[in-house]
Amino acid sequence: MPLLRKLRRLLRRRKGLLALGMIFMALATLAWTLSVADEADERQSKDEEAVQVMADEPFVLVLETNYLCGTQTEIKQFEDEQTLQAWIDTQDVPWQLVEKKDRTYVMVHEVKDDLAPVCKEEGYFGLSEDGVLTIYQGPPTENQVIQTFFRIDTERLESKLPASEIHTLQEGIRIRDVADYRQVLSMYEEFAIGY
Amino acid sequence: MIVLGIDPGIAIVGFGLIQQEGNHLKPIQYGSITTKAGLKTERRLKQIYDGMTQLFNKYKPDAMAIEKLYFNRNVTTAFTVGQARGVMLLAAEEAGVDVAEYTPLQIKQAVVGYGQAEKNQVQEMVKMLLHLKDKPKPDDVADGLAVAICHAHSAGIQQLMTERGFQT
Repeated sequence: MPLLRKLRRLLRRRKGLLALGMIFMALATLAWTLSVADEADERQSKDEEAVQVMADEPFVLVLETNYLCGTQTEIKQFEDEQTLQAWIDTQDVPWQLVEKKDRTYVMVHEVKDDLAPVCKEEGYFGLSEDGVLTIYQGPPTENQVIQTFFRIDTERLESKLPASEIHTLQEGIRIRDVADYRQVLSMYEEFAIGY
Repeated sequence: MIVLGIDPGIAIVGFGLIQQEGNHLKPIQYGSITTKAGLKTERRLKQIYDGMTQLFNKYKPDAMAIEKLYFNRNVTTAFTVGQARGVMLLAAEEAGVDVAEYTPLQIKQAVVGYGQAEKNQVQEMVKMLLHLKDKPKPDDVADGLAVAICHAHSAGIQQLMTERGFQT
């Protein structure tokens, strides 16, 4: 207790010194915070400029063909913008420019009466784990989704269709052309939730 | 085949990306990864690693060729450049890219046809072989491209030998 009293007395006498110490501490903390922030900024700017390239980057043209099922993407590179433009001018396909950013052009073309080559060669209708009618690249077990449609009322499906039909859908129904595609879609459309 | 050639260093890493189509070599990109002298070694190594990763992600090379180191004087420099080489090899391994190493003698032999060729001769040959307008500067960039050319030639010879049934 006498020690505590002594300490109080000392603090009362040295009030000015204590205040000065506190100001010094606050200034030191502020300086440290600012230096850490500066260092982080400096780090970031130095990281950004680490890689310097000398050759001109090529102009990239991304051509996306959107089919009834699936998309086919082709990427072409051109040395300059004029060559790229000249190539576009020679095309019969009505490409639509949807994005132009720096040296990259993205052009889209819609084909609504055909399937993308990936769908013709490896397309399967199947059911996802949460009951959504889906087109997969390869059998549904490989889980490579190309396109999703609607959730199917599986209870109604089981009550209306024979078990073998449901099993076939679960295993995957192979599609090869637009007729296959439309047939499967129309068959399961009536089991869509909210249909 | 896309080859990334590297001239290793801690201050400047020269790199050159070339595409080999048959006998034709085409430059895709070349430049340098530079780090500031005042920074801590670990920070500089991180910048080199990030720069390398950026190159692997953007250009997706099939192979990386890197110059072997020969030092006989400054051991400290040798250690630091060795560390830089380490992070480059790590970045290549992470990107799943095969690595080949060549001595300066092999590189000069492949690019100029003479193992004791001078730096300027190598740069001139790099400019000529890749149809560049100017000699790439700094020297490290030209050296990076030279390593890539060396690998493209060696890989071609190796493939030819495999096709003809020689074991390498």
